[in-house]
Amino acid sequence: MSQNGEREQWGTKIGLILAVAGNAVGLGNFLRFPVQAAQNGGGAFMIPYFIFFILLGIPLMWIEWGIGRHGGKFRHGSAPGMFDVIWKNKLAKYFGSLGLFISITILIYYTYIESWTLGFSLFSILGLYSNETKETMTGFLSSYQGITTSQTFSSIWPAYILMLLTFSINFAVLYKGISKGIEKLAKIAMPLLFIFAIILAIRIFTLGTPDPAYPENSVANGFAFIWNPDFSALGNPNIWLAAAGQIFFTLSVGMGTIHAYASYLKPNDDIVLSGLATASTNEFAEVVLGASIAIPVAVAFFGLEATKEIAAGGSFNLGFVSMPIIFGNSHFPLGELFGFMWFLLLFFAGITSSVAMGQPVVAFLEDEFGMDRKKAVTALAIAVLIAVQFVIFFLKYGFLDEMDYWAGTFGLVVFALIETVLFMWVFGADKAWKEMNQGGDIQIPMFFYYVMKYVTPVILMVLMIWWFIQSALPTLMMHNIAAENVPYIWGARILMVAIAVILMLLVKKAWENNHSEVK
Amino acid sequence: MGLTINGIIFLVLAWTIIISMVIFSFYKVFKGEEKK
Repeated sequence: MSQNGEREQWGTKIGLILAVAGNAVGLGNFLRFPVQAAQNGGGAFMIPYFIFFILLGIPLMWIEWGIGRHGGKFRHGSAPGMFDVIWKNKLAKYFGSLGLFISITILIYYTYIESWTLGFSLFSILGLYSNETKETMTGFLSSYQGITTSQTFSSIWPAYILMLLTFSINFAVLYKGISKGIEKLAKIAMPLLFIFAIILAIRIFTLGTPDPAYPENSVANGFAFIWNPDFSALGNPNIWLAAAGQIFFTLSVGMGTIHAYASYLKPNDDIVLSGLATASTNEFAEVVLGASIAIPVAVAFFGLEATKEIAAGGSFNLGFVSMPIIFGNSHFPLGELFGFMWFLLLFFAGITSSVAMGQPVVAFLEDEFGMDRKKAVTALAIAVLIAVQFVIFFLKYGFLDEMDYWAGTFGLVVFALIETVLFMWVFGADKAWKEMNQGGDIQIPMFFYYVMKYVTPVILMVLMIWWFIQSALPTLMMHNIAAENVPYIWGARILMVAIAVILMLLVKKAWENNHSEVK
Repeated sequence: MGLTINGIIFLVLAWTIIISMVIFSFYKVFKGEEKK
């Protein structure tokens, strides 16, 4: 839309809830959560997990919905304008540019990973992998990524073409707009995601002991690995921080995406119930479905000790190496079909998140520069396509990991802390409380007023300091980085600094040009 | 190994809390939409 035109709106409330839930439900729900639970006390992990869901996750959701809808009243669909409204200071908009930086930086590499899920769903149904071992499947994945070559993939071009296809779908959805694009996608992709996940979970429940020669390797023992509580783990502060981190990542807060979606609401539209419904949907995808697929089936096929190794190897190892081995195993009937469903559900989880990451910059260009949506989406597509080349071709040198750490991990908690302090302390807790409850189908219990004002910022501060000491400093100093990777790590940092500087200059120019007239 | 009683309690409790939240919130959403 242009500055003089009407802002777009969501078609239906359920469409909005599915779109925001789609933003929250991502690859992490199905790959990161079960690994975190299994490694951090099993069922006992759920105690800090639920505590932080109440003290951190739900409050942040409501804060972001509140900031977003409030910004929308002033025709701002992105964080720079929203922060400028809640904090009358010339620096506010530059703090807000962090919301643009995080979403666009994650979008650059996330869409590439998302294209792998689309590719692997096709490879599953085409039967390109079967009876694989850990070594051959690792080779399959790395040759697909262009890191090595194999009989199946002799170059990176299949991955490149699938990346272009994934990008095209993403930007076509963004091009269509809020109601006709993003909402329509959510209404199709989210029900399909849940149907596929439920079918997979039921299939895995009924697998029992796939190979009777190994009775210990069973789905029941897989559930035991995740759910049998180890209460002694609760005395370990790392477990509590892991739970806070998981809640933080799973709800996709601290990215500027929820703000952008909420800005298309009317001032009296409910956000309290919508926020709760969104968070609940995400938790259902994570705790009920996510914990019932990958880890239980891995224990059933590989055994407990091997699954512990797989879990320690990280989410990609579990999703793209271990799961295809299982689906290609002769003890998993119709594995091609279930493999197709597994990777397609990951693709749906991914695309509903990636379109949300594109929306803040599109809204910024529309609202602050008066661009029409098509031009804004085209500009974003060109920028992202240029930047993703580095991620694709320098993947093996840790380029993606470096971007993921600073934008997709540490940046999120910094942004979340800034927005919480600005909304609850600078804008004012009373005004923020009134804003969030305005038009609510239910009212937020008063308990959360104090949680949002005092507890949530303290938890975020502790998380930020902890991560700074534990991982940000070693990452910054390039500990454990191979010498040949160092130039590429610097390249990733230069790219991120360039993105941040360009965004801040754009913010400056927007406010110099015409922002004062709009206000 | 197998699921212990404590494991079953945690699994059932977590699922019950989450499914109750989903049912409550979506019931309210659809009820609100009907009124409008």
